[in-house]
Amino acid sequence: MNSELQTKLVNAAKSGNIECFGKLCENYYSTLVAIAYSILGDHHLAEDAAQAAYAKAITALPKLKDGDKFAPWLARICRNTATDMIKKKSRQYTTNDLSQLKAPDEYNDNRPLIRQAIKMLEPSEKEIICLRYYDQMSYQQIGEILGISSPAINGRLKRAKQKIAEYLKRNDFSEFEL
Amino acid sequence: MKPENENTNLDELISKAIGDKKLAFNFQQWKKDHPKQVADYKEQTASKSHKLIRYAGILSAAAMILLAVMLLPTISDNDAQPVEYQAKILTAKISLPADVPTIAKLNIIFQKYDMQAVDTFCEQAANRTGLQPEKMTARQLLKEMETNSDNTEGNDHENRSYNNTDDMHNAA
Repeated sequence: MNSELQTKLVNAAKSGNIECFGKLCENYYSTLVAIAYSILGDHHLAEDAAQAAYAKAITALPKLKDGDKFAPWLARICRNTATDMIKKKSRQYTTNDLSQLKAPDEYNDNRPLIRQAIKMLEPSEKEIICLRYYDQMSYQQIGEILGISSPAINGRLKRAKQKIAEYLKRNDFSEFEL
Repeated sequence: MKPENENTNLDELISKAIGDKKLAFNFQQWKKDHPKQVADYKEQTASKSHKLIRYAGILSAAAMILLAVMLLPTISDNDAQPVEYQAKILTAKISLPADVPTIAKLNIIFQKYDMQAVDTFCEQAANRTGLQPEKMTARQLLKEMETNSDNTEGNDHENRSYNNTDDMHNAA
């Protein structure tokens, strides 16, 4: 979605056109799920968090001053929602679930170890890894959501991947050369 | 910008570990699941529109009041004067061009006839306009001057007879 169309949709949604808000929701859904996933470590919870974030966003939207900052504003709401969820459900779900929640066919593969490696990252690094690999976003799209430049994204991704690789190496994961 | 840190193997591993999820968002279903938020949103946006309309109404009323305040001194300028004064101004405006003696008219009459003719002209003009002089008339002033000069100076103009008022008007 180009920025001009997005600005029109945001302005229309602010004026009371709920279908325009729906278009924006559809556009950013996977992004919000990726952000929530980086915090919650669970797909279903991440989807719940994204939908709860929309519920908060729709009531706060008429008060949004700068329509151009819609995406970072929405991402912030989602981040806070996911953080609140993990606080409320800390006894049931933690970020450890990144490695513990397994699908039936995952017992003999390497995915839990990689998820565990991601769990060890800093929150900002986890988020950028999820945006890049969960939602397959481009650097430009990530930049729009996080409000940072492409070189900054590149640097943050590089550091995150280096940490993942080091963690895998320490855990005798030798499927690739570091 | 081209990514500098592509490690295909690691990228694939991460994508397989956390990605490969096809997500679709059903907004219509979401609206059904969140009726309270949708209602709040509609109420807020509706009240925002009403506020805008109300502010526009207040602004236009304020503009009208401001305009009226600005124009009021201009409109009521004449009303502030006493009624008698206004009547005099009105009379003067109407009668000035034709009837009221001006310096030029009086000068012409004096040069063509005499001082008595000037006085007669002034008296007739006063009768027509209704603006009677409150002080001494020109005739009375003339008599007083004649008394003072004790008829010592001769004046050719005095010997002239002046009876025809139409001539005076023509001269004016």
